[in-house]
Amino acid sequence: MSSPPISRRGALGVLLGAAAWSSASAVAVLSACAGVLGRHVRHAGTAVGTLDKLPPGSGLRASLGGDESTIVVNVDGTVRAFRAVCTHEGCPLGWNAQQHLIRCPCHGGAYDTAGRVVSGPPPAPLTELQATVDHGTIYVAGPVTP
Amino acid sequence: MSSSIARIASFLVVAGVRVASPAVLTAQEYLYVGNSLGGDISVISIPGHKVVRTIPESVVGNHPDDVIASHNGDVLYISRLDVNDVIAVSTATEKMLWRVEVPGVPNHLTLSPDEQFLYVPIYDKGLLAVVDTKTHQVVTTLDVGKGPHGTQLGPSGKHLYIGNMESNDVAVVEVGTHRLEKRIPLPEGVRPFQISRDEKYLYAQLSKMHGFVIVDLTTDSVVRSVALPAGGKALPEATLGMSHYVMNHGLGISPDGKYLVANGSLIGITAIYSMPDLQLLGIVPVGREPNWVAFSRDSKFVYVSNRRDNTLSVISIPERKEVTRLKVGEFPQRMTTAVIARRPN
Repeated sequence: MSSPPISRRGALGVLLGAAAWSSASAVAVLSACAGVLGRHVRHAGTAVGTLDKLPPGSGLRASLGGDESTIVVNVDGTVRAFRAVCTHEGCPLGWNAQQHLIRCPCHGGAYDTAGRVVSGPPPAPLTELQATVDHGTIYVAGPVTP
Repeated sequence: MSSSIARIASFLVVAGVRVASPAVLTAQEYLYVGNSLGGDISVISIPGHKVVRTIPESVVGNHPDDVIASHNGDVLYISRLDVNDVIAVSTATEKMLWRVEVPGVPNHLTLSPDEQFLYVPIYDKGLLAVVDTKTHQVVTTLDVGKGPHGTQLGPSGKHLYIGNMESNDVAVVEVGTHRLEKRIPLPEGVRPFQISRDEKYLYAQLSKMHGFVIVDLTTDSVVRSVALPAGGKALPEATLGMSHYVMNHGLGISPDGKYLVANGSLIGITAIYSMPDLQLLGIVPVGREPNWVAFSRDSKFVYVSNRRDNTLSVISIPERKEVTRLKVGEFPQRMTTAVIARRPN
């Protein structure tokens, strides 16, 4: 069984397409590598929800297994995740949808969607985690370190 | 009118008088458990010890911190961390009656003896806010120290005690005048505390102590430290890296005055001591990170909220053992009992 003949124009198209795909793939792979190399990943990502349930301006709290949990926020289309542990006394944090703030249920500490302390006793900002979106699923992995 | 009937029925039943028409109204003791992360309140029957209802997040929400009841059980007062307010909720309808904004983050509440005033410690401002429960207004505020967290009314009804987490002391306020009388220094941040019936001693858990101290209120000095048993467990490393941590949270004296109960939060135990001699009577394993204690009014049961596993331990005091563990809401912390009259479902 023989393959159908390929015209010269068709062959050129295939070659150009392959080259473009290779370039795009290479860029993607390099970007991914740069991302991985540029940031220390402590553990594999955990699926915490889907992007359609996290529209811009919203947030959610999700378990990462055991006592670990995260607050994931969508700020104008950018998804960010934080370790949901208050820097004051280690209490688990919640998301207040009306205030668009991350709140502590122990002594009232408040953090904004960049993890910065807005009010209350917390002495330090939140630890940011690595958030990625793949095919609409949000994954959260270990802390982002510069 | 139905509220009045309910109050009368409640009084009669509590007084041991059989109500003529029990099919209409019955009085029942309940435990109200504030679930701080879930934003709702679990309602548990006593002595059946079943979760019978949940006052939903739509009524409470905003990370409730404390929940206390009026003396007749008609009203719950709930401090809410996110929105700096206190709400009053009817136990009959489980709807909000009113709310009052306070000038900062409200913590553990106490009512004045006549229930006209609600005392609200404002953690982030170092204030005590005094709320008039009739006009729903803050009538005065006063500086009491840094990080006011817990409040207790002395049994004489003349003094309010405020435990300060940040300035490591207990402020004493004269109830009649709302005037700061004195501040009693303690070695560390003051966590849950209790006052003896004769108002001579104050028992206090401290942030970094696995046990509690006893303060002589005539000399304002620590006269004894009681180390909590470890229950055969090694004390875990304190949560380092935090500006604060808490070894133990949850201390109570039973209504009959015979027992003092103290939680060992880092190792998941509750210790029962005799009063006033503080002999250790028993150690009861409970859930993870016990946070608060409340008693049934007959002093037969002590309830412990285990905030890390979302459970409530029901402990029989005479038996010194956990008789059941109930699943409640997310991150249960403060709780209170109330005897209320309710319409049958």
